[in-house]
Amino acid sequence: MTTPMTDAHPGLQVRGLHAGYPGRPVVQDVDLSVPAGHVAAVVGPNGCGKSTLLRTIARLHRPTRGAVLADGTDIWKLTQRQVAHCVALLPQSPRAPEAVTVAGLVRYGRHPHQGLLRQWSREDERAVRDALEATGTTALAGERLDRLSGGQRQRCWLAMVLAQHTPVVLLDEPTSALDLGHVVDVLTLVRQVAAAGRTVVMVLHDLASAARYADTLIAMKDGRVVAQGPPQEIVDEALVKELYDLEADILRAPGDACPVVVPRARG
Amino acid sequence: MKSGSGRPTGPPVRGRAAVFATAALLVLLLVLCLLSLLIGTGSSSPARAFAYLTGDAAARADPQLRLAVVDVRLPRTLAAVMVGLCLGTAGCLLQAATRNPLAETGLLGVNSGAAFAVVVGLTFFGASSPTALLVWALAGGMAASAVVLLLAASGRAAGSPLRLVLAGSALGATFHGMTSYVLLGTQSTFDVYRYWTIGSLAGVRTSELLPLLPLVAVGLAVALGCARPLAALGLGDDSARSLGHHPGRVRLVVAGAVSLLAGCAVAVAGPIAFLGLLAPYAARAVVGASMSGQLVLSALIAADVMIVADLLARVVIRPWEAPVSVLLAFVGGPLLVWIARSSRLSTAGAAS
Amino acid sequence: MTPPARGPHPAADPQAPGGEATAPAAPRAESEPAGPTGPTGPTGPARPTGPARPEAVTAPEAVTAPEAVTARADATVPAAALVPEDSVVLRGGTFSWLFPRRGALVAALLVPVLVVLVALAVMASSTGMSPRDTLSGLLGTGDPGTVMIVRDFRLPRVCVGVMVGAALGVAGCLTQTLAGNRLATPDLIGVNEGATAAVVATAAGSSTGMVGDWWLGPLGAVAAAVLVVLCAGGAGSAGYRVLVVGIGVSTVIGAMGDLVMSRENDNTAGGVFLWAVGSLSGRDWHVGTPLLIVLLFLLPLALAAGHRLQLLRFDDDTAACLGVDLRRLRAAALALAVALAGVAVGVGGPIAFVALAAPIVAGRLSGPTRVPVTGSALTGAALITAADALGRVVAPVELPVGVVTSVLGGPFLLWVLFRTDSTTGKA
Repeated sequence: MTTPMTDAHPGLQVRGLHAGYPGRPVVQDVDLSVPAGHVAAVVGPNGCGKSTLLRTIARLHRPTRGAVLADGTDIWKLTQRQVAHCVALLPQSPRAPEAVTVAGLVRYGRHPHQGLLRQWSREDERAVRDALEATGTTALAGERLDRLSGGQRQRCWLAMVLAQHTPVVLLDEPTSALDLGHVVDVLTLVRQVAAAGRTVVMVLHDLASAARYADTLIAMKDGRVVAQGPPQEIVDEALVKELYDLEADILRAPGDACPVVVPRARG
Repeated sequence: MKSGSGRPTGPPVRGRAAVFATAALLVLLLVLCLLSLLIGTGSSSPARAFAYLTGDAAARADPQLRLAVVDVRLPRTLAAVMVGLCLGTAGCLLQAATRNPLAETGLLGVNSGAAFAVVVGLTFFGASSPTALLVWALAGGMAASAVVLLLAASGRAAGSPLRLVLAGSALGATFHGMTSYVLLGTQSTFDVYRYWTIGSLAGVRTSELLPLLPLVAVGLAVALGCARPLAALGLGDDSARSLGHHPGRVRLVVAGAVSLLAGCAVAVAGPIAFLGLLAPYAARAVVGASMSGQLVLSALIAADVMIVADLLARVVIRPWEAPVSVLLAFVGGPLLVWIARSSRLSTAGAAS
Repeated sequence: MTPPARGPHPAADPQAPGGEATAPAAPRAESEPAGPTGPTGPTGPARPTGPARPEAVTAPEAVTAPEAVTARADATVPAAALVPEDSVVLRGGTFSWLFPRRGALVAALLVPVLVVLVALAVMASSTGMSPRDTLSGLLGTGDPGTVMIVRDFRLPRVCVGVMVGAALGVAGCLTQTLAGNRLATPDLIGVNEGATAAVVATAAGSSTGMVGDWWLGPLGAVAAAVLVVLCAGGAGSAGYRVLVVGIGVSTVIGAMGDLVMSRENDNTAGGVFLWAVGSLSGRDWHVGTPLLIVLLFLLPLALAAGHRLQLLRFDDDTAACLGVDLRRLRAAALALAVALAGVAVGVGGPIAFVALAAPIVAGRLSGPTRVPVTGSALTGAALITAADALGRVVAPVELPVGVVTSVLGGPFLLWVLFRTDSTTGKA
């Protein structure tokens, strides 16, 4: 697995966060606290502000109000480079440099740690190797990224984010466009990342996998958090109705009683 | 940044805006045509010219007035409208076909080909009359764009936007270099050339315009016929194919029409490429994605701007004539900057 | 007057870098390992892929890294495979450097080429001068006439050409990386028109049509570019808007130049035309020394920026999350590009195609993974030196360097890009 974060760190706190565009608030009054080693999944209908929330946490978008504390520090008091030491984000559809190899891509994850006098340290090397191993992409290291399948490519991107060695990892729909097997692969990997002591916040579309793999579920609608807590406690018919305006049955998975949402036909 | 989602825009609203804009531009065009007939560099006053137009017997009898209005200003007005329609349509077609909002009509090598032919005609064949230059320019523009089309139509990726643009700009550069080479050797050619390249509508005669009309008509007809396939191409090549269009072929036909139209415009008014960039850009800002709406509006906007520039060219440094391309730039440049800044076409999500 | 040649269009390359990365890569899908692959996934021996692998193994430090052997017995990647394919690692204490092997090789190839070209260019003339005469002229042992020609005219001119070419090459490299578009060049942001307008203004003021002080060109170029950036609302804003605004503004500036020119006599017009084609004729140390000082200041900055500029090849969000302050980086790179292109165009006139071609050639030589700053500088210098020498030899009348680059640049561009087209299968 990835190198465990030795010191317990405070994880991620979001306080009274408002964000959006002039005249169009997108995220309103969001409070979150995700401790180290936890996986939080943000769910909600399209356009509810999930991605904007994630971008704001990653310092890509300036909040109109409120604060984001990664590792105990307000990220707007840091430089972009310092933020890259504590928060890593995998965007929804990232674009890689032309003709980059898998190892090349993962090496870019070390960029925040490098400088004119520190271009390729042993630590960089170790981080890249670990990230490749953790994601099972070791055998692909020399391949060109654009010649891989979607599932392989997504694992490579994850490897890059892991190599960045940040206490907080943000993933924007890491499983979109993947088949069920790869979805499980990626989410299992996410659990392992958290087990190593990192904080993971991810946007997910699929309520069922969110419920199964997240410690905390954050349900958003119209820019506000409508429910927050362990999936077993908060996923019910009312929540599904509120989020998606959908009648659904909530079943319990045999074994761990994890909620499974079965929508009823509309009309 | 207020993007589309902020306001209640549906197709009907945009559609109404397009109709309204079309009507307004048409009325404006008529008014400008009238003004163009009334105002000139010469001594004939607008009032007298107006009297002539309304059929006042005394005015009709004045030979000087007749010369000014019928033989000088009328062909000039017609030429401005024609050049505007040509460049506006051609620019709009080319931008759609290359999927490149920065494409302009010079891109297919028409302008540089015409310039090279004019220089060759001047230097080696002694062509010096305006009509001869017009013919040389037309022939050169057509020949150059034919070569570009041939290059673009060859190979596996025949008719792809990239191939069109690359072939055009590469050949354009070569012609440009050769033009410079000839010009540096012959001072007398340079003296004529530097006035040709600035572009002007002064001295255009109806007899020169008439032979071009069939070419322009063919070009415009093809343009209108291409509106639907081009709109389909806008959805991406695969979608266009599934709708029964052949993207490569459509692009080549469109490029042919563009070189016809642009060639005529260059032959009449000199290498004025900028209008072909500006007009479609402005049209898009008004009507959005509708292809036929863009074509019509772009043509009208270009005609209007062209007449305005030509009118200004006559009056700003009276009694001399200012170069029309310069005034076009002075009118169009700020307009382009203003549209670019007014956010509708700027990248979405680029929060202040 | 003639509008300065505008290069090919910026958005002409809709599938510029990265375009293919997002395309589905179906052909290789079957090579994907089946089944779940966690950390204990397939751990076969690393595949010996890639031609660069054998080179990388020679990285001395990486092979003997102790923790690679002990701590990670199950490691499946040789440490060398993790080092960038084209580099060698040098480490000392807490410091570490990557020595770009391929880049160095390219430089080692280009520098002798450039030296030979400079030597040929010093010799080149329509009348012909023997190598021996040239050498004696250079050393000051020949007859005074030859010494003067070589030392006072040819050598400075060739050196100015080298510097102009290097500046144009780097400026082109920066703008292409900045716009993520292989066809973006500095002249799109008004550099050419600005310099031309400044030159026209001074030439119009003089009765002989002489072009005024050399520093007016750079000043005009930089002023125009600054105007474009201001009109576009800042350098950090969307690149596309800067380009459109650049076209608008440079049209107006160009028109002002035209307006002035249309009122001038043919003498002045001819002088300015020669300038606007791009020529190195008569450039000497008077121009060369300040140019050298400016380049000594700007080129190291560009080199230092190269490492960060690589990240612009990612999308904005990813680049920012990797610790790049995009606004600052873009503004800095744009400022550098404008300054470099400004001095180059101001001194040599708007020489076509070098800013476009040099980075493309350099990119081909040094591989796709790097931003080829050094390579672009060397290639640009070589291109201008060769074109200038060629212009002095081929015709009885000296051809300005801009004419040569323009005539030869077109077919060259076609060749390079259509070849790219056929090798990668991209349309």
